[in-house]
Amino acid sequence: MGAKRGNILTENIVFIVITLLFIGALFGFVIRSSSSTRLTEEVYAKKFALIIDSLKPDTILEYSVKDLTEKAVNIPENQVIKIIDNKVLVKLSENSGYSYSFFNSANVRIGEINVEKGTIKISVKKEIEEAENVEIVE
Amino acid sequence: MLKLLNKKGDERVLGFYWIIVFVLIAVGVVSATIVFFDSYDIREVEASILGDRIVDCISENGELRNDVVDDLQEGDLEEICGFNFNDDFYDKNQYYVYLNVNGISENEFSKDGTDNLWPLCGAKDVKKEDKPGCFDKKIMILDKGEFILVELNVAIAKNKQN
Repeated sequence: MGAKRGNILTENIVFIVITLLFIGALFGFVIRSSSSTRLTEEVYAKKFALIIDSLKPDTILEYSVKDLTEKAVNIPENQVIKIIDNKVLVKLSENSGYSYSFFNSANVRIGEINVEKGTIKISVKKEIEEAENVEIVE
Repeated sequence: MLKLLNKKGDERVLGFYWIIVFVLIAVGVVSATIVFFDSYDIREVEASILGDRIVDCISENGELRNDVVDDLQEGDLEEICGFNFNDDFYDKNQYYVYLNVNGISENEFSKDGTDNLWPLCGAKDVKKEDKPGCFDKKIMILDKGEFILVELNVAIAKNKQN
């Protein structure tokens, strides 16, 4: 009688442990997928492309990029976000990177990341000459 | 006969069903996660921003800029309104814009067959991966003291990235 009860309890405990492990594994998978490097790069590249598209000439915008700097691995801060032609390139590690194009033909410049504040400045100027004279002071 | 159906056998069958339930839940959660976090589709927002920028281009303080509308009749939308639709990621142009000012001036920007994009916006039998991001707007703008109707349709493909 006692042995049988013990058996049932062991089976139940094993079952509960397996269920918890299963739920934990699924939860871990979802968390890992939602915070992957590739996804962060894509989200920020698209965010910046939309911001640049919507900015009118002669605008300077300061944007928080704390999540981005925290995930950057072996990449200098001034290389994390770059503008190449009419594309935003976000790179969090040497083996990854995501770029997305914007249609705003104005001259776009991105400053260096302010490490203390965790922000970056984006400037949009109509003329190339004007943009070259602009200093984005951190 | 009843003696054959012992409890152990029942539990084993139940265990088998539990494994099936676990597998089904795992497949559901994993596939939902992959689909949800696969890519963010921003084309509708992008199209709406482009639409707003075109309206800004053809009007100033709520008044129609007739000079710009006239230029658009013969000139290029990219050049006149300050856009750059080039994208190295794709071989072809990915943007379509249709602008109708009061039925008098009609302007369509399409390259590399993007005029086929707009009909896909309302189509129901189109696969999700082939559907463009669409935006349409009808607004009234002042022209010499009178309101005129401006119709704008924008479609953006960029299917591989969204």
